[in-house]
Amino acid sequence: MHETLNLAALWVAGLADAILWLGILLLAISMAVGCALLISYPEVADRAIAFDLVMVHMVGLIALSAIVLEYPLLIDTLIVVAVLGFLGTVTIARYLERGVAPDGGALPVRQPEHDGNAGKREVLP
Amino acid sequence: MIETLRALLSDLLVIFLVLVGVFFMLLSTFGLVRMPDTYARLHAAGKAGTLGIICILLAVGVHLSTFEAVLRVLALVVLFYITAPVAAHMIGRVVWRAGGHPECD
Repeated sequence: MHETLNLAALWVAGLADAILWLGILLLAISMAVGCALLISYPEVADRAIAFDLVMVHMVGLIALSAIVLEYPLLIDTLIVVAVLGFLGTVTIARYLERGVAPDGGALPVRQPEHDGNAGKREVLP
Repeated sequence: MIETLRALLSDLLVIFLVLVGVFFMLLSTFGLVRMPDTYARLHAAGKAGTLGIICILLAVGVHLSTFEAVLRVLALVVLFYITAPVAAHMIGRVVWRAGGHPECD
């Protein structure tokens, strides 16, 4: 009984390690896709969403690293990265909502008199 | 005996939470790729990403399971629960005031 339990615990620990590494790999791929989207979007609001997504993936990667490395101090890093991601998104949103760029130029976002989807709208079946 | 059982159950819970969290974060990226519209992208990235990151953070708390680590992880979960809808709402409000309309009306 005791030997069986020890064996099961060892096996599950190995499985947990493999799944943690698999999760790190998948999150890294997902974060790379998020960075590609962040570059490829034409509008600033979409880029802000993609930036938020990339920061959340950053938090997830650091969290999985804290489990794999057995390093609890990384949780403090998590708090800093989470607050930075939120503040970055809020800063972009406030800047867009002000409506005027700091140098007085036009903002790269749809203006109120212009409907961006007017040409693309279709009648649904 | 008890210690071995505790480690076994904790590892099983970590496996479950990490699988669920990584699945939902992949789902949020897939939604960002797939959705046609800024509002739909907000929908995908805001909700699925928050659920995924909360599951992964709970896995960290279960695995480390010291008082300080669990306290910080719970603070992070509360932080994400508060800040993710606020950020999504601010972006959505900006797009709405700039004259964006949903793709399907």
